Amino acid sequence: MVRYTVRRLLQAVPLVFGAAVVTWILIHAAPGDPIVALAGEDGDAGYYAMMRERFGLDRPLHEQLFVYLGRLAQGDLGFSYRQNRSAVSVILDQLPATLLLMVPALAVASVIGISVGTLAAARKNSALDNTARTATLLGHAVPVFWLSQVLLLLFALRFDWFPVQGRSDARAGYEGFRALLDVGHHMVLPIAALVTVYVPPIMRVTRAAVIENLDEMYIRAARARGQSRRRVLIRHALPNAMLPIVTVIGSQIGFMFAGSVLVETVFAWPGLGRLLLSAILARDFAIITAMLLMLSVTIILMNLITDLVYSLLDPRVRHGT
Amino acid sequence: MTEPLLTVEGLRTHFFVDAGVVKAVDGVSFEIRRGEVVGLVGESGCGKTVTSLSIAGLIEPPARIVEGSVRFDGTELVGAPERVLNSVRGPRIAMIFQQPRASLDPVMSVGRQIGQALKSGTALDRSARRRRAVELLDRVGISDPDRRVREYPHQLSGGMAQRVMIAIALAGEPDLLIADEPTTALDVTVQAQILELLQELQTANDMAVILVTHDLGVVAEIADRAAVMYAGRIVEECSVSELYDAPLHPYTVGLMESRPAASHSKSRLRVIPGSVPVPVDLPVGCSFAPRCDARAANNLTVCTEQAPQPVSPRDGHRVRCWLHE
Repeated sequence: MVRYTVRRLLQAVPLVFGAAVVTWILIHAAPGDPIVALAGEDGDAGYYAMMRERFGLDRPLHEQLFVYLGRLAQGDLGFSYRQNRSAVSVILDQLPATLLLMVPALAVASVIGISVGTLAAARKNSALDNTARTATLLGHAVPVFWLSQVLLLLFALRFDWFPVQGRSDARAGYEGFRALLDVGHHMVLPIAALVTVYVPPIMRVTRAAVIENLDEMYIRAARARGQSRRRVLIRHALPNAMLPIVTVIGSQIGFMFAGSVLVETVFAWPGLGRLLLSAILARDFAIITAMLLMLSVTIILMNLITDLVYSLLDPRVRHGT
Repeated sequence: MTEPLLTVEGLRTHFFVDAGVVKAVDGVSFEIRRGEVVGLVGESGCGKTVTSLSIAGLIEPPARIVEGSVRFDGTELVGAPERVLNSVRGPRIAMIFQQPRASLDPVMSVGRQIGQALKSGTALDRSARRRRAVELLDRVGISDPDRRVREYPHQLSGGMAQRVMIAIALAGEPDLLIADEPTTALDVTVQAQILELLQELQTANDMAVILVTHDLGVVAEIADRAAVMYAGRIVEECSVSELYDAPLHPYTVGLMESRPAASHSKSRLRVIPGSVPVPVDLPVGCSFAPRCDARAANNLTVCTEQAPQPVSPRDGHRVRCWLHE
């Protein structure tokens, strides 16, 4: 298991470098000049030249790429022209805020998706199943930025149940437990929007996998030794359905940044999503490449973790048959 | 005479599918006494398995028991609440199946699956169940049971998996074991071992057994009586010795003749012409009539007009055939 993990991590190294090269080239191929974005248009030509020289932007592109890769190999993800500090420290500043939304959203979505999917599978074609399927189809089809805005308009502006934007109420100046409660209050709407996005794939995969397993012969055999319908569902069909469910949850974690950009922007949440958006607008190359690199590393790691979880869940994977 | 352990009467289990109503089991009646071994014989698709699943209350939509009664030790099982059925299945009526490896949950250890059966069948606590599981594995002839109890189904051979299934079945010391083609998927040498084990356990526990099979050799080996099924009905029911020496129904006669015999291996195998009718819109009259040589030879017209009722030409021998009316 340890050897397997180490081997997979080593295999990931060239993949990460490949991803780094591709993102770097893509970003530099896009129009826009970081110095112009920083200093504004119609500035002093001498100042532009000085800044370019300072950040190495006057050198040919391939040289810039090699410099970037060389630094990357040493663990240096680049320097933000905009914020005048290392890209890593900027990202690490914003990461907790994003995790504060992502982790609970994914946890809630997993619980809802797995339980509703399992129930729907147990009562295939019932009213519950049809409602759940229609609802997830809707949840899947609705664009998350639109949904976020509707939630905002309805529950924050119209009914005034939740705060409109941000992570906390700066004017109230709460302390201690009251401050925690305030943050929680701010989390509700963005998390609701994210849950709506996460639930449909989890629910649908759960439903399909459980239905498939309910047809297996070991289900009938378990019933024949006196196991009730409910026990058979929870103790046999669901554990056997876990592999595809874990896969879909793993892939959601990998792609959570995509959803976060839109949701964080609508709710003015000070997280990575908003950071990425402002970095793109400011042509802050170091931040953009560092974030995209992080994204690919997250996806690679999630794939690895998913595979490791497989072997925990399924003895056949563990024993390599 | 004491009341039979199991009485099946007029059992009809139909599948309601788009193509129509498939009458998989259409009026099956038989009895089984304590400690008796009955072979339920017939070709694929004749309703043997559906009959055994109906007895255990394991019929799922689109199939449904539309009529009939299954009385087990004084309790009516047809229409009984799930709670009652769950307490009967396992501790009182146990089942083993054709595909032993597929019948074990792949992600649950052998010990835990035996433990489930012990939990519903006995009052043992956790550690006692663990010890009993090892004993049961040892009882069904699995070597190194202390290690095997922690293993998973994919680590077992087909024969071992069937032994595990038998251990699970024995866990609650059932009065009735339904064995649905228990040896069909196994190697020939393993088949013999499993049959021997079943026979030995049956005698030791004085357990009644319904042995569902298409293999007349298996029936001859361990059954006391045989019930021959054709197109959802029992067409003949008698002792195994009569089945071999004096079968009455033309279908049974055909089955006996179509067994390969070691003595004249050069001769062509006798076959019954045609195939089992699809049980949607069964022919009026006797469902075997279209394939029946005896009907043609005796020029019987009633066969295609009216279904024969069971008659008893000899004591303990019942047959559904116009030839014997």
